[in-house]
Amino acid sequence: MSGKRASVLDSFSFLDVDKGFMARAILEYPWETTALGSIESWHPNLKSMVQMILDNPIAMYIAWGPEHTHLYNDACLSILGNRHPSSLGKTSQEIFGSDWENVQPTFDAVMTGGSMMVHDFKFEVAPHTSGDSNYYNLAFSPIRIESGKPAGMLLIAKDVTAKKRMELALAQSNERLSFALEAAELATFEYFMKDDSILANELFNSWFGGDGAPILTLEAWLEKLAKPKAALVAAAINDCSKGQEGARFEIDFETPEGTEKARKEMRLKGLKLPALGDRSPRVIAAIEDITAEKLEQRKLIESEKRFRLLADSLPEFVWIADAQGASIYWNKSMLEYTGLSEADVKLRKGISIVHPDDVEANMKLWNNSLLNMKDFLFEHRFKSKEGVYRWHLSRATPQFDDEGNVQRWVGSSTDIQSIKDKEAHKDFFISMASHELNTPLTTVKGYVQILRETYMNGSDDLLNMSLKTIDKQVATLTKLISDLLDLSKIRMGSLGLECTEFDVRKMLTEVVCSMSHSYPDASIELGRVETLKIFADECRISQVVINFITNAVKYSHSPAAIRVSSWIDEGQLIFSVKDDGIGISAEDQKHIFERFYRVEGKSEKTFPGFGIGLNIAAEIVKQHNGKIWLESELGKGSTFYFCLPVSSSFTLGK
Amino acid sequence: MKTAIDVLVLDDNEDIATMIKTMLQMKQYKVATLIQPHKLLDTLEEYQPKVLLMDMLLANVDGRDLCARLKADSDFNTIKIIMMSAHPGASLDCEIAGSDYFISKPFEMKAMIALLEKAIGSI
Repeated sequence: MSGKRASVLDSFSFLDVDKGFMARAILEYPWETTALGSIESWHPNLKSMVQMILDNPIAMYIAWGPEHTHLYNDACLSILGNRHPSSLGKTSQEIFGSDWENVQPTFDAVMTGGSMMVHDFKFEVAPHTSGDSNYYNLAFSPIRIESGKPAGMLLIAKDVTAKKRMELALAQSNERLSFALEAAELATFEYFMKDDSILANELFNSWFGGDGAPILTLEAWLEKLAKPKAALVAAAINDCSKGQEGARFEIDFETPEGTEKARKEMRLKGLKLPALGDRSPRVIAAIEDITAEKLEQRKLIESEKRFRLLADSLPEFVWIADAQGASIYWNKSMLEYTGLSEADVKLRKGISIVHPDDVEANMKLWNNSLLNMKDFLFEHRFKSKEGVYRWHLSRATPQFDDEGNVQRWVGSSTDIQSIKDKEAHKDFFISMASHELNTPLTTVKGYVQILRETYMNGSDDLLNMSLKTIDKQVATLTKLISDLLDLSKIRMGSLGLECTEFDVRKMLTEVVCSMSHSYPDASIELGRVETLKIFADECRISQVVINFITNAVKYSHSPAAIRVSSWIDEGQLIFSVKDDGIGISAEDQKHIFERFYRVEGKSEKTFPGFGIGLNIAAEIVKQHNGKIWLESELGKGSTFYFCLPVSSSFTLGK
Repeated sequence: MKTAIDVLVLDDNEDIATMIKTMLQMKQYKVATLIQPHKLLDTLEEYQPKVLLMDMLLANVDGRDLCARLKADSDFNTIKIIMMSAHPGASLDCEIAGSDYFISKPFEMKAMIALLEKAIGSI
């Protein structure tokens, strides 16, 4: 330490520079420029007070002299915030500015000898910002000199921010609570055991008070309730009041039908509170009007009862599943058929009645319905309690609440075993009929071919022509029988595919070869063909191509020129059969794939067939997930196409 | 035991059996016919055919069962079996039963001869 500073420190050793931040700030302050003058000239009382506040960990403040020159200790720094250091050595007027008028009376009162307390004084940490406020209890006291007159004052500030904030929060939460009570339409009251009095909110008095007069005792309130529940309510409150702190109760009661007031159903909830401060132990209680809720509940139960009565009287199976798809109700006939109990159903044993072969598809479809909230429709076999499976058609539809969420699923299952039996019977009949018709045809066709072979080189034109015609007509008859069988299969949805891997080029080559043989007059040739193996029903796919070729021959001028091609385009294997025939009008094109539709030719020419060939072709392609279409112009010819998706099951040939 | 023949035709419809026999004999095959399925094993032993041409639906017997039994019997499993049926969709069933070939009824004579050549050629 050197120079002037050292000499100052020597002279005023009452201030230890190590006492803290403010000790140094006060020492270094140019006091000679203020009304206080240099530190050396300070009144001894001021010196000792300054020493005292710098020693003190509590926030203390001195205002000295008639101008109130300000000094303060380290603890004041956090209160002053950015007001330090501008406040040090300044006068009240300089510090308070326009606020001085408000503060001056306090200062004046203290300076004339009175002490003063100010509670919960709000002080902004950083003035003119939106920062937090702190709260202080302030104690003002005069500092006297020898004359007994105050020459300054001491201000002690106690931080009460935490307490004040808690009080504010409590007030706010009380406000929120009363708002919530009001909004929830809750009547509330506090019951004080010591004098049987109750203190209630407005709603309580408007519900139970006679003509708006408040109800002041528990007894008076209990009289307003319908008997015999009133006694139970009294007992519940009584039990709670004698119970442990925190004891709770809940009880429903009713108000009697009055002359003006309707009967109401209410729910009371109560809680025992211990003595707190000046409040004696009490029971607080809230009452809610549940008349409407109970009415809805009764209506629901009533409608549920009616539904069950109806459902149980039906021979069809009726069932309900929750939003997650678990069965919650089966009607009587379903329980009786399966031999399961209501408990079994709730334990999710329902799926056990579904035929093992149907379970996987059943669950897949059901989960799909649940996920997409779409109707469920499925045919599956249900096991009866005797262990016999019968086919059932099940439907289910979701029920939505107001927000569009699925509440539950209502389903029904109808026994379709007899329909299935009839279908199977019909299927069997048609299959047998086709077999029985084909059997004699086999012999006829065989002998015709034997005869043709034998007399092929003979000169008997009549015999040759006759045999050729019989052969052709037998072929037509065979085709008709097989079409009828296919048609019946399609109608019953039993046109099953027998998919194998086969070579497309080989298949088309064979078809073209055999068709050329059948129609020796026509020129049927293979165009561009992919060498490719595909996984499909070879027999059915060649049936489609044969159908296209047969049509092309039928509807072409003689001699027909037909080209069969196949190529891959955009993930599809496309087949085409192109002819230079009579073409198809735009109107006919629209209907050409419909069942029994026949394009009528010129009057002198008729085309044999049922008009079901293209319909069957379309069905076969559909079953392969493919598409069928045509391009045609009248007089110029037609091209028929179909395509199959080239999926992972398709493999490129070597 | 007679001389081995080419084809034994088993069909409970006698007309068809005879027709097929006529057809095949025209093409110089040695053919025998059998109408009663229960005599099949004896007949096979008697004629030692290279190929058995057999209908799928026989009176009282399912040709698929017969086919499966023959294929499982070491005395007969070298005989090539061609099954035929007036049920157009029966080919897969016959293949499952172990049949070597299938032809649907009614058939083209050319197709029948071609299949027979193939069957005999594969021995």
